[in-house]
Amino acid sequence: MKTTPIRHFLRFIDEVSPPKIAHAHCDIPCGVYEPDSAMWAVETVEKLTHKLLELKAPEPGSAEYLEYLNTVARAVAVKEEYAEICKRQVLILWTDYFKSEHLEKWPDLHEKVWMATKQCSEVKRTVSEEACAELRKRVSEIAEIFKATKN
Amino acid sequence: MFSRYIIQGDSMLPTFQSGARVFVYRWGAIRKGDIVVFQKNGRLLIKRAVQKVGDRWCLRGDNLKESIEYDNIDRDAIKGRVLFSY
Repeated sequence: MKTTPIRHFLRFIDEVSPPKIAHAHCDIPCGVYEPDSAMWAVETVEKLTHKLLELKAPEPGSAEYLEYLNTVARAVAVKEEYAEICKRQVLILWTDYFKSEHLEKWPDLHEKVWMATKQCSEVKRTVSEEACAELRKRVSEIAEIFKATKN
Repeated sequence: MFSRYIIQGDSMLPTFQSGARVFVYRWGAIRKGDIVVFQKNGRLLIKRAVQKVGDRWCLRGDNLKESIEYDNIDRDAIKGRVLFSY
């Protein structure tokens, strides 16, 4: 985008007085929200992490080595994809579903969402079952809050 | 008369990505094809005006994989039309 004085000026104004949010979502009034998509994504990340940890590297240069590299690359790609899906699903609940009255009841909700989404990045960065378990715990906490709001 | 908004979500792709900032003008008639910010159920939303029916507008996102058509948005609920992004 071409930078112009008016854009500079508006960005400066935004710093002083942030713009409002205009939502561009699939907005069925009183839309259907659920935490299951995030949990399924966690499960996929767990399985891929386990698969990666189980892989045995063949001798470099052998016929099987290229296939091994291919399997690792595919597993990592899918792990990345589902960690991102998990992050997105948690953020959808945060931005679209949870309301101020939920925050009053669960004042640490922002913190929980922040930590869960940061953990999504952590499971991307690592190949660690401990990191996956931590992600499951954090997403489960948000799912429990979601379910409690329905009671 | 003027407002600034940050778009959040993908339903206006490919026209606007999530995070795009738009400058909105509150006055003047809405025309077919305008992108407008409007209020529904207490939330501010952004969509494109696709058809006028009486004094109401049918609004829809550009990303048809994400967006579901709206019917009967009252003109009074429309906050303004997007002039440009910045």
